Amino acid sequence: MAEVVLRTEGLTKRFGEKVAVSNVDLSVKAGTCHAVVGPNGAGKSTLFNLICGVVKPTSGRVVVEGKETTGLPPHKLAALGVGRSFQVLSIFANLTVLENVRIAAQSAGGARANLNPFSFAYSNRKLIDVSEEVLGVVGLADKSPLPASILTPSDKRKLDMAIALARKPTILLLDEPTGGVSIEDIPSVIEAVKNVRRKWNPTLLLIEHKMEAIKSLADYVTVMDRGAVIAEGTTNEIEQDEHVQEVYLGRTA
Amino acid sequence: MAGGRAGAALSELARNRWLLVTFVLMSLVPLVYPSLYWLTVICFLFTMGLFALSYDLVLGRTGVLSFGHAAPFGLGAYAVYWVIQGGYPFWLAVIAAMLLGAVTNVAMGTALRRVKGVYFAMFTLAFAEIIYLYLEKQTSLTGGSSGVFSPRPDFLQDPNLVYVFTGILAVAAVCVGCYLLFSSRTKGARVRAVAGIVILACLVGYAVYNLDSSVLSQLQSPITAFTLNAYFLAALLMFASYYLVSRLSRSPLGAIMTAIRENDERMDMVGYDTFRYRLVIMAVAGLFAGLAGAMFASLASFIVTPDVMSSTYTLNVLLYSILGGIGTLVGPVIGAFIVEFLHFNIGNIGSFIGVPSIANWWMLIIGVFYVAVVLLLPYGIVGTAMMKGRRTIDVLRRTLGGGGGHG
Repeated sequence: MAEVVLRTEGLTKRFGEKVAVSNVDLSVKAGTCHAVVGPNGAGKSTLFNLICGVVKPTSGRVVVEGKETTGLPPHKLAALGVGRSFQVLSIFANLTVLENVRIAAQSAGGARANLNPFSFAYSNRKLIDVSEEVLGVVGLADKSPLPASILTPSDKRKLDMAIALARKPTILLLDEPTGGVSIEDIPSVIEAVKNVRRKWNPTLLLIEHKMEAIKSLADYVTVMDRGAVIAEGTTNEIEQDEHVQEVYLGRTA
Repeated sequence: MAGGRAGAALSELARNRWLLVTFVLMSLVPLVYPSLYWLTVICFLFTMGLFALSYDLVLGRTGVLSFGHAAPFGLGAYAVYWVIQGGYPFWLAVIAAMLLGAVTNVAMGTALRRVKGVYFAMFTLAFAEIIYLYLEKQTSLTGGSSGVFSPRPDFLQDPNLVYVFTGILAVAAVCVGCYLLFSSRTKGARVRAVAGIVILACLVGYAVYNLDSSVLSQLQSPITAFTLNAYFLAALLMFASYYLVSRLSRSPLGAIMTAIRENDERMDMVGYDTFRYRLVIMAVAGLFAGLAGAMFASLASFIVTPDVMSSTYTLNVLLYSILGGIGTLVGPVIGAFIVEFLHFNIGNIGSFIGVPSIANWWMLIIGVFYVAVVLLLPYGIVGTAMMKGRRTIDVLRRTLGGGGGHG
């Protein structure tokens, strides 16, 4: 019954001679958490960039909820319900935590509301309520008046996620949500992602390195190496897969 | 509380109290210190202040580095001349100048789809210089390098208009007075309110006492009437523009501008077509730059040479911004006032300190000044003051809070 909400067909990206993503077919089912793993340089982030329209594919298609989105610019994807957090943190460092989320929520109003010179942005109760709700879910409610730049790395990760959540996306792409977070803070980030799932249950596509996060979050795992998908299955299946262990632990002769 | 609309109007008044107070004080200048020379100079300062303000929308608020901001300004100045030359009324000429400014800036802004940052700056520099060099050769349109004389609008030579402007001023002054009275809830505020009203009353009283010898008594002379009217109109346009721009900063578009400056890639990813919003900002900035150009042509300078479109004016506006504080809105305006004030008075200052030839060294002085500000006040005069002020307030709050203070 679970329908596929995000599909890529033969998605390929070449940078000159180098094939970053090679013929990737990915199907993400509604309401599941799908992790993409693989060693550095496997093409995971490029895959995300292709899905979000930051990078245009050399060939192949991206289909979001039955609609072809190949080559659409990022802001159009956001309007179709695709939210995304970034591997390299992407927040508005000099704005407050609340404003980081509020400005993202504001985009849902469309050009008409956003170009209205007679309305006030910062005192818009509706947008503030939405932002505070999102901040509450990721666990940043008490930090909302602080400037984003002084947050801890784990809180910045949560904020990055909150910005992506502000428009209540149906598909959320998280690029290493635990990246750069100290070991003792990882559980709190994982907890935040779980909270998001409990609250809105968006379809999650996740890039992760940390086994702990993958095991506690992901339902399905796709393993990539050198741009290609080498294994796919439920989290348990992948854990037992010998080929995957080879890629991760080194090729034995 | 007060009803919705009245309450909103009152809080809007409260938010802009300093703007209103400054406007009233600036408008009292012709009454208190009536000197045609100084009124002309300050009228020019208002013009350049508005020019700097329009640039802060682009550079300071949105983080778009344009080196072609002289193009909408200069074309605005020429548009006024062209339209009035064609026999159309002044108001139409001003609207044409604003529209031409906006169109020019939008045309420049289309390059933002391909290039950003320094590359866009280089493109705009080339774009504006091409317009400048092309129009400089079109002697019939622009008068060549010696320029054209833009006539003083007739209606501004009407002495009766002075009374209209004085009326507007009186309304503004009453607003300030009302605000001071009704907003004072604490004792300190009440003391300030009384002090403010006394100062206002003294200034008006002095103006009335001075009436015989003041320019007001020579209103029948067209040049006197014109200077006064031009001064009031320039003040009105600059302060109204400042209000609109600061109002825009608090609108959704203003929030978008700030966020685009902070992180444009993320803005794209959360659903904003950042290119289009940048274009909108370019258009709005072009409107105000065109208006500044119109003021330059018909209120402040009258001699319009193609130089107004050249990089000299862009560099000037950049200097105002850096000096005053990029992104602070009021900073670039203050920067423009300081630089142009010094520029006008460099001769006087020179004779005062016994070195009359100092005027020949203007470019050198301004260069040293520039370097000193960049080194000593990296956020400009207003920017640095605001940061220091905030830090002082923080320290005070911490000290008072830590000292077991309550209430």
